[in-house]
Amino acid sequence: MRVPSPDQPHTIGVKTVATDTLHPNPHNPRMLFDREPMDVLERSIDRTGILVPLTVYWEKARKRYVILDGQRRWMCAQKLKLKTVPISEVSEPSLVQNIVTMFQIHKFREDWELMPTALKIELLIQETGEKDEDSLAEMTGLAPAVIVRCKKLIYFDKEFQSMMLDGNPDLRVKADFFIELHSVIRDKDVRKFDWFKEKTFIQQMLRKYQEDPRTIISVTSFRLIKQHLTNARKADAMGKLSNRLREFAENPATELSHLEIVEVNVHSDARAMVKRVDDLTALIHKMDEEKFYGEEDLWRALTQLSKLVEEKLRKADQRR
Amino acid sequence: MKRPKNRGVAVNPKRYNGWLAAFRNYRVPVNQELIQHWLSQFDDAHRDIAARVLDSVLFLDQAHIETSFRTMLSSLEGWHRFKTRRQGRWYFVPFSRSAGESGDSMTHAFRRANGLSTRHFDELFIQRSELPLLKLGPDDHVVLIDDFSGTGDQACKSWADPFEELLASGPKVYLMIVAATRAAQKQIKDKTEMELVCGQILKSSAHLFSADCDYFESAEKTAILSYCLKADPNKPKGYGECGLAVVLAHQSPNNSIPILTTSSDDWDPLFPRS
Repeated sequence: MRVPSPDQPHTIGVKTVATDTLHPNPHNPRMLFDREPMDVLERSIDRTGILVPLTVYWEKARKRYVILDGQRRWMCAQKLKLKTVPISEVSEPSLVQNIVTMFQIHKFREDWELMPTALKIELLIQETGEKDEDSLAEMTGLAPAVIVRCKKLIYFDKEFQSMMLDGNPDLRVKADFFIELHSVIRDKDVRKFDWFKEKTFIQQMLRKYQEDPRTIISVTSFRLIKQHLTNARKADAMGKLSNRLREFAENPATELSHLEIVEVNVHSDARAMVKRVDDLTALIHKMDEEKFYGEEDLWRALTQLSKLVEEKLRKADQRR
Repeated sequence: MKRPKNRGVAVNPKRYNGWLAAFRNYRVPVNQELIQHWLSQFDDAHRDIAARVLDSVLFLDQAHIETSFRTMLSSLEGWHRFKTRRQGRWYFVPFSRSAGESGDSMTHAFRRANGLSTRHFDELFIQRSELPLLKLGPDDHVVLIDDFSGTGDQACKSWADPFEELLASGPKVYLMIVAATRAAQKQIKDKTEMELVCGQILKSSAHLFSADCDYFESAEKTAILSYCLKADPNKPKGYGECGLAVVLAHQSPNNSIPILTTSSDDWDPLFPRS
């Protein structure tokens, strides 16, 4: 047991409690912490003890201390088998305060499943009445793009949301499936197709994604569907595409290529562009920077190209 | 695991009828021809052991499952069919799968068993994704429904992700299971905040290969294991090395020994898993 010596800093108003009386905050059960910083913290605590007390609150209903801030320190203390830890007790937060605090402390990570986060955003919207994406981003510390993705997930029925919450990760439907599908089912023309029933269409897409012969092999297939819709719209061929999309949805074996309408097919253009981009990439790759160091026009052109590519990528990403 | 018949008891029509009566309601119908084929996969010298393995199968049919659900729900404090007489809010959620798997089919059985099948009670049966918005508190109850737990691993994993977070507002949480091993019971108690409500706890003697199981002698267990290796070389004692001989009418747990449950090039099980 580590007991602070009289020489160590003395904290005012801080209590010491048994390490095993604390509980992690259930609003943040994902204890996915990077190993390296944890190792550094563990070595530091091993040398000097816990200098900054853990912020905890007393949960009245379950009569226990819950960690608001300091879960990493607590985990290190457990690993080091420290019998006690210093705590600073604050009043019990409201549900919204607790959720927001957890968002602010435990920054969102790309490898987290998005659906639980989306459900919390839904709860925050319900509790605060705040729907604006930027305001929600400010409130939670999440990137606006993450809020947008969450709102797309919130759109789906609870039945479909639950598919993203299976206890067995192998059986979970990825959130990306629904996020990408969202742009298709919310397409203004698709919604006008006389045959279109949203729930049925989602079920049909799920079947094509999950069951053999798997004619939707990747969630990015929905970007292609969206592309076909945009092209058909431009070519005034939406009636034809409506029929093709219906056939694609209703027949599990029908391939995505069924949606390609010859007169609006941009695949050949895309393939030609890919070829040219590959050629240019190879040229730039081989370029000796020092040899062309003084060629201002070349560097200006490359800078413009770089900006243009960034801009196009950004716009394409916004459309998703 | 049930006590098998004595060694050397004839495999005659009476014995077949006993098996057929016990297993007739498996989701893939079991008939005499299938039993004969299953037995024929054993060497002549091991046919008696095979027959005794079949005797020992604990088959939980639909009637047993429903009776179990009825008993378990009635044991929960604060529950009542009449809303006005319930303590707090009550919700029932499939535990193991969102749709189409055992959690879902168990929910149907649970509703039938407890007379909760009518639309009047639909509001009690919710999707897991509905939990956070309900803001359930300590006076409320959530019953997670499932069929079987062999090791408790999956139950603990499902609790950690996603249920703990979905239930963070702190309702009383029950995990209602038709049958579980004692090991699963302990793990669920130690690692989750769910209270396990279980229709039948399987003792360590239910592990066919354990020393506690005295229905088979050591040499017999070795022989059984050799066939299990043919059925599943990777998990010859079933998932989690549970070594069980348990079959539920709608599905065989993956913790049961593979000669009962697992198809391979070298083996046809009597109770194939879906």
